[in-house]
Amino acid sequence: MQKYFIKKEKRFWTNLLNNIMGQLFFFSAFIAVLSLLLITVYVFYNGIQVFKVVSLKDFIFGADWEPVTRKLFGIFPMIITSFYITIGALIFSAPLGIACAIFLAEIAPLSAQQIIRPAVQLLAGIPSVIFGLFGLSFIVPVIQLFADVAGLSILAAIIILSIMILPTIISISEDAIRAVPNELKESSIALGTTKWQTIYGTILPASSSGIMTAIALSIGRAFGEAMAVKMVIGNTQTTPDFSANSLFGLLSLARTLTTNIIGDIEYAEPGPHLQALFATGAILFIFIIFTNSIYYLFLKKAYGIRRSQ
Amino acid sequence: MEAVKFDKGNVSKIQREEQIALGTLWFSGWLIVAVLVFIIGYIFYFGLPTALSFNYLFTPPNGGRHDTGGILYQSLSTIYLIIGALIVAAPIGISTAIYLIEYAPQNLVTRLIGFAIENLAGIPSIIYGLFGLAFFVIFLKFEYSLLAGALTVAIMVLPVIIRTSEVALLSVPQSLRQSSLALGVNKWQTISNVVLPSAFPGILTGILLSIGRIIGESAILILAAGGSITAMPSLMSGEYPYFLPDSARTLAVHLYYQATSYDTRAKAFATGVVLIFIVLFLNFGINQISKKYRKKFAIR
Repeated sequence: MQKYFIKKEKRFWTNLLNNIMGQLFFFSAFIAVLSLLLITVYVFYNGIQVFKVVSLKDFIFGADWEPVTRKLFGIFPMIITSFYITIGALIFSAPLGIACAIFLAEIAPLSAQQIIRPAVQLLAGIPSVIFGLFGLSFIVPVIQLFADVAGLSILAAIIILSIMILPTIISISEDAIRAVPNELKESSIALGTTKWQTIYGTILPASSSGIMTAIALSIGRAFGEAMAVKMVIGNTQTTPDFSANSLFGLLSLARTLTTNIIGDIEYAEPGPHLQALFATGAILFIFIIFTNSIYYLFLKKAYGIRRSQ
Repeated sequence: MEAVKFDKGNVSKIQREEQIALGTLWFSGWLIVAVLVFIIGYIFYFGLPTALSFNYLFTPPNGGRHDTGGILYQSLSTIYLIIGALIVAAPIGISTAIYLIEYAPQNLVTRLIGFAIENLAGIPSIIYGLFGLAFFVIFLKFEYSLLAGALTVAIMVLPVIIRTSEVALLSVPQSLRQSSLALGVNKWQTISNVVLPSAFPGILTGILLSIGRIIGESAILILAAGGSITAMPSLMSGEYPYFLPDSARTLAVHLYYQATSYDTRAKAFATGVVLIFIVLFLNFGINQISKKYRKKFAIR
């Protein structure tokens, strides 16, 4: 029975390998921390440089962006527009997305689920430039049909964004709705309520935290989306007129924080202009950190634990 | 106690409300499908004739205002980008997942790692792009290159690979691990011989998902990889420093430039068709794998 004993020498090497791999896994895991640190440091460090040329107040509340000719770095209109299109997109897609999630989780027969769920999955996988192309070649001309404007507009951006964030809202809300305990639904039905009354009175309140995570996450997505928005919003540095007379600025061209970076990066010279773009990114980053923390707040409330995806 | 009102009028009102509500839900569910079909149909209608021609797919672009060439170089640089990003991201991502599931003690460091991964997942790609520009392109002097793009994209897909691998590792039954350890082998042998083979389909799903993300990515690449159109993409540069390939466009970036210039917009649809085909193919693969996987471990 000699052969069943592992030689001492071999055991040394397997043990060494075991230890090395353990260390290696830890170092790999730490790369994520390192990456996050590097990203934060590089974006903020490069962005802060611009404040040698312009004050923080003038940067955030300045209304004019003339980086080359007049050295004016004001991003206030972009901040407003970024918020505007994000909220606009939510107004469209939150009700639609939640309704679709309820349909998938509570009403749809299996055959319908087997069509709708892959469709949502596919919608999530379509590259943002394709949404941009669709917006540019379909939604923009349609807007031109109804109004005498350029077509490239805040409205086009809102429509495209609301389609893009639908999958996020649907899949996370559906999970939240499915997580409502059956006992709750059964008790409600046992009281003689109809299906809709159960959904409205029991299921939605019980899953509201989960649905809020979906909304918070999609706010982050919409706020950070660059390419599709850039393709349909016109990217002018004029301040849109948000008064009711001009349809709340829906049809005007505008620029967001993200499109400012994408649009200007092609000709920005190293120096204040490029630094101002990094500072724009840093401001965007701060908003994203903010929406992410709201997301975790609701996630904790909804599930009580760290839950991936 | 108040008597519950239960007259016939009330019932019919509730029934009508019920019909309207359920009808609306039904409508919104199918509206999503309609929107998707319309968008894909629209892109295919204008792009399929060009995309199906052999010429477009296999000739190099020749630049210029009307760009009469095809997308051969863009396809190649997309493939290079996928390979480059995954060579970096896949081992790191899978190792991270292994650490978190198999090793990590409940301590501050582990929580820090989890926090970093969650936050990386929430960062928009334009910020990754800025980082790539500042760190790889400017600081490390890579200049606009596929390599700078690939490394930045690798960080972007890291959370995708980690999360899916974590789920895959978690679904490996604990009894398998225990049986292996009981045979007297050590942890690494258990992981490499028992856990990883069982989790492989799930990990593969994550790889396919991240390929989808890489193919669709454009903001990062515009910022970090540049947009040279007629340069033959390469894994090696023709001049010093040799390890840096040149600036290149992937399919998604090419689509962006095609679409935003009026003269080439018609061609953008064909590039879009190619991209959608790839996404469809990836989604099909993911669904097939997870179907088999579910059967194997009888999940759900």
